[in-house]
Amino acid sequence: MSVDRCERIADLLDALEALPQSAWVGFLQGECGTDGDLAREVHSLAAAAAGVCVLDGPPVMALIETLALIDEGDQVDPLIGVEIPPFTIERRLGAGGMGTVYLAGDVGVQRKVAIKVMNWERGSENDLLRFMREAHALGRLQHQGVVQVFGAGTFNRGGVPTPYLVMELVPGAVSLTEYLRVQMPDIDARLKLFVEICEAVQHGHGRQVVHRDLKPANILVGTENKPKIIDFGIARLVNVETELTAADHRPGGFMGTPQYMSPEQCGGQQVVDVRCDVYALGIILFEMLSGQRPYDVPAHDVLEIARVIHRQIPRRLASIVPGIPGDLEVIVKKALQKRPEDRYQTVDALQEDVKRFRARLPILAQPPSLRYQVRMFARQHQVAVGATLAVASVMIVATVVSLSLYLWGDSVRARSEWNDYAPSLQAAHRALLDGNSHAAAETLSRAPAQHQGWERDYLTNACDTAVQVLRGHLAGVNGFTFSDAGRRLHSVSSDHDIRAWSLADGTLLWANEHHTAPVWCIAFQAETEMLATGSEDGTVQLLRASDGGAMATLPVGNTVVRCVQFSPDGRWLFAADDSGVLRRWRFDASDPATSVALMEDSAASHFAHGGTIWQMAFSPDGSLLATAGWDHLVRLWDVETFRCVATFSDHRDDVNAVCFNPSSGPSPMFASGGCAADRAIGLWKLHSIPHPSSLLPLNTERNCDRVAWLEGHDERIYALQFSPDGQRLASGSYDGTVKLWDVASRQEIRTLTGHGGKIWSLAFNGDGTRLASGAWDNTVRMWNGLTGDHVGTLRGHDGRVNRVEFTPDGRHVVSASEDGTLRLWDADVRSQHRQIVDDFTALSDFSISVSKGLIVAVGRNPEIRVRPLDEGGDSFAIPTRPINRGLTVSEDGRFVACISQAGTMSVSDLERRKLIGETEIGLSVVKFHPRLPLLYIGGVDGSLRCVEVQEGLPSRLVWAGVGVVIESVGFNVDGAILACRLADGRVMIIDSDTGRLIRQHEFPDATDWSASLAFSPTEDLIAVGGGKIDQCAWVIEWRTGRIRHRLPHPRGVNAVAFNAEGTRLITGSGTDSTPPAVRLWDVERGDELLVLEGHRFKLCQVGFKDDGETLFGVDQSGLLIEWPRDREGTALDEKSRP
Amino acid sequence: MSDSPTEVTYLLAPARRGEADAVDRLFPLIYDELKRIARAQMQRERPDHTLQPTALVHEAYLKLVRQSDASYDDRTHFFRVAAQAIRRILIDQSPARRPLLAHKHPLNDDPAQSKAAEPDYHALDRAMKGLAREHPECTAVVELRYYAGLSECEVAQTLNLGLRTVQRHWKFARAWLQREMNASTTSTIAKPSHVR
Repeated sequence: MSVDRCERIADLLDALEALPQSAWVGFLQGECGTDGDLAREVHSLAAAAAGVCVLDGPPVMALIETLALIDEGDQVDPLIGVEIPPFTIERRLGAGGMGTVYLAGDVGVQRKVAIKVMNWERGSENDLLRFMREAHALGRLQHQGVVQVFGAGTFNRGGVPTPYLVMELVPGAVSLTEYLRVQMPDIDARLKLFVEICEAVQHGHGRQVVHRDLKPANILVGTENKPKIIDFGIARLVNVETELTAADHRPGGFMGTPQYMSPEQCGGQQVVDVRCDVYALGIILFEMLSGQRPYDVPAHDVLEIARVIHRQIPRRLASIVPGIPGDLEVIVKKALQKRPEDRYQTVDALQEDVKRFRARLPILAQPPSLRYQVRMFARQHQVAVGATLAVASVMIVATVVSLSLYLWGDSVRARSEWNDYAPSLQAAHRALLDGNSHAAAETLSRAPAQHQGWERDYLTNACDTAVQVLRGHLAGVNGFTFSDAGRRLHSVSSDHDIRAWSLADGTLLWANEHHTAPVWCIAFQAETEMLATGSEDGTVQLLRASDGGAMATLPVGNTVVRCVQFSPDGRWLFAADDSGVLRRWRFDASDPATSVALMEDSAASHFAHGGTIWQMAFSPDGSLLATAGWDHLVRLWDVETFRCVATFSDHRDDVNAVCFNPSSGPSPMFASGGCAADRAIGLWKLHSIPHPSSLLPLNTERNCDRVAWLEGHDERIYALQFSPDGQRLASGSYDGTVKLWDVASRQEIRTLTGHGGKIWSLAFNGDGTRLASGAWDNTVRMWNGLTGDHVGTLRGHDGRVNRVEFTPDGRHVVSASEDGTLRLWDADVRSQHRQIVDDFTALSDFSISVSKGLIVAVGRNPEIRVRPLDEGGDSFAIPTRPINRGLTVSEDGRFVACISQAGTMSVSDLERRKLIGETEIGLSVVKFHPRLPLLYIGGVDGSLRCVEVQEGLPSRLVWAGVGVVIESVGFNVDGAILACRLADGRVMIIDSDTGRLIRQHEFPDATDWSASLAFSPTEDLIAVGGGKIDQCAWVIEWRTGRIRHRLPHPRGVNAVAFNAEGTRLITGSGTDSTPPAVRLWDVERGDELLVLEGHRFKLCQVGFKDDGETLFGVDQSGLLIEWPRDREGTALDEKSRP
Repeated sequence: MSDSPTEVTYLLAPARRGEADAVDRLFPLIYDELKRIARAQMQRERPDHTLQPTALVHEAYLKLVRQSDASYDDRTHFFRVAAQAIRRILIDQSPARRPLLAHKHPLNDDPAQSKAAEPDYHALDRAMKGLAREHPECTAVVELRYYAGLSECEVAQTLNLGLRTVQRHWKFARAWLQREMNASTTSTIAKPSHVR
């Protein structure tokens, strides 16, 4: 309606006001003439305006009073009135940790709902996918006891896409606590209510949704005293993909109450399943029966909370409610067991027992026998849960995820479970590469069970490749040491504990809690079998390695003890702390009993550095100790006289690392590194040790040379290690790289890249052939200690790796992590990367025969070189014409056809190692028949000939062709049919024996095929690789010509292969400019399941070997990468058997 | 703690252009000021005194915007935002918060009005949205006249329209909105008059 019309109407309204209502019609007919619409419009408007008009009373009074009454600081909620179609937000109902709940009305229908607007800050597209899928799962919960979720989506809130959930509104409901307080029902009524609550929770479990945040505040009681559970599974919506950050203590970092958290929920490494809801229900039942909670969980200290939940035994109900029936006590106790496997395994089971109690039937749970209880009490430390407190706080602090609009209706759309499989895999793989192994494993465990495949097993095995996981620490593990010839491991942690483990089976031997603050360092003295530990509580503890019995506590002061070490001769114990003091005690290895008294008397100290002493190291002969400090200095001390003999001040920032060259002969050499300012490593050599009685002034460098100043790192150097033979130095830096240096020439050998975070620890194995590095990307990486080649990546930790060390026998690597665990890995990681062809620039072509395990290569030389793929078997050469430009090998590995530059083709027998014959046919493509000793040749005239592999190479014409050059040829499994792709894009399906043209298809869209083509072994499908322009692979039904899938692949596809069952397709991509990848696809649905990277050049061959166990890819440079389904890892005791 | 007046001044221009960030920041500032003034007025005046409704908004304006920097368009925008703030406030607070109003509206002599029940601000808000969809030119008039309480002359000045135009728009909108509200309350399933 135009403005003029609007104004006309207004004028007419004015006029009507002067007239009685009865006269309106007539007046309007006159005024409006033929415009009946106008007349009608004006009439209805006038009628409306004739009565009392809302707008006549400006709401100024109401406004002022309203404004005046609003509390100071009470902000009007800017979301009121916002439209989220079809709803409009009307009122705020309440706010919680994860979001704010509003009442909203549907304009079209008189319906009210609750909309929960999530607190959202940042998230990624991946988080979006996940949230939507999870929210969808919640919609499947349809039970009278569960608040129904209708839908989810996003809306634009000040520019930020914010997610929301639309839920059922429960009018007049109060929280469970409120209900109990006001209504005060009797025990039987409470139990009845509890049973109904259990039913609702069980419904969710039946739909694979665990609540994870059950508490009275999340249980509403509505009309007729029926419970309704809210926020079912919401906790998972917002935290599943959150980053598991390194555990810093975060006092008061919680939102919401941790009172109902089960032990596995405040431990990062345990899978959280339905039993955590059983636990929460146990606490709720306890509260419902007694009005109190079974134990008091403090609200602030994250460490304390985990401690209480893991360790404290719940109160007895009888102590609060005297006369409470014993059976109820048993039920509650069983639900509250610390270990999930000791609780009721399902909510149903818990509910059943409560129902039995109410019906006066005997319950099924057994009260724990006294002996069991005593044993449990004694074994409290052995509770098999690990913990990362950061995970606990992350689970509750809702880091929010971004969503996108997901169209629902009122009806929940049914989707097949398969739709979750591929995204689950992709999400798990991403999580794994980000270092979130636990999240990856959990995602995989939730992927639909019906869909198994090589890829799922591969990823599951990749999530954690540790041979052994030592769980038990509640906070990050800072250090460890071996004892008993490497059979025992002692670890220290920020949770104040010292633990001893048996490495053979991973059991806990003992735990010592004598420290009262985080413990940072530990040392072992072999002769006396004593351990020394240094802690933030300002003490050094001396304890027996065998049982953890405390021998002495040596006070250091109000400071943090950073390093503690025994001198190699066992006569002294040194400790260095944050205040810069170096302390020494006399230690008598021969008689530890008297040692303690001796120690206290003999304590001596020096104010060694102006600040924290970061590391100390003994010289190989044990006569010198080097200390590296915050004050930019490195100092050398005479161990015997405890005097400083040299000081090195070349560094311009604090020095984090110092280590001696283990084999530098009479003149000790050591390296120092650190420094954000100079980012360099100093190599120093001492010529002669000055007389110890002279105390040298600072800055003296008379007796040493700075041998080298190694630069190259971009950030500070935190880890330094010499190789055992002293010829190489490894440095690990905050820039995420490890550098290998040659000591003699002072040159950098190699930079080892790959870690995604700061390197904190390095270790060589006994013979220097392996180097292990631990970093902040939660991985340990293994390198060839001589060349720096990357051997493998060890994944499994969920927090940064603090320390790595080889076991004394060199067979395993131990890593300690911030996630509270130590992991044992097989040191003999077989490298997945192998360079099978070294001088690929001299070669023109090579091929692998998977079945025979051979590598066949040709080049300018007049020979065919054959080498075995694995160890064993010999190499040989078969003479042929010089300058060959291509070859093809038969599938059974018996024959090879070689095409020379001159245009001749020679066929050789690899078994008998001789030439069979040569021919001069001009050809474009050559392929062996998969079963018969036949060779098919595409001629330059577009014809197809068949050559018999025997003396004389007799050939016959199979198909005359259509005059267009054949670009690639592929056979099906038995060789009865072959497919030819022509230069003009047509695909011809031909009977390989008679040459009869079975089918012919045209694909105008496929403009740029690549040479790869493969038949599915089980269906009538062909896979063809598309080139740079198409950037995809095509899966075609060759009988009909229908394109079943177009699989997008950046940079096109150079190699395709099916697995033996025909259920999976492998594609290999790449051009020379971008890193290529191998992709695994599901053939039926065309979903991309896995992306495997690592190659640097175009892939030329891909496939499965070892009967479908290992996926491989070879690129043009001759790099072979194998991805085995199962990781090889040997348990300790297997290998130690004679 | 009130921000310096210049902050609002500098937000007006980008807010007028529709920059989400400026709009989001502008709203609470104005809202706070209105609250402050209202509280002060409640303390000073007796409820039956004649209250100038425009005083509320004008005072906020004087407080928040530095005259020398604000352009004419900015001023208009301020008043419109203030009006929208008031509109939001009215639908935000639940009925329980506000005491029943037993006294007359001092500005309206119509005795019938004083018996009128509290208008359903939610329904009005919905009707306003409909008006914005079909007759956007009238919306500004209603906001300033009804919500901000400006007189017809003041509305004309603010919007730079002729007085007669303002009167016409007001007349039309008043009737239209009333009709809309009548329709929504009488039927259980209200058929919206606009196309979704």
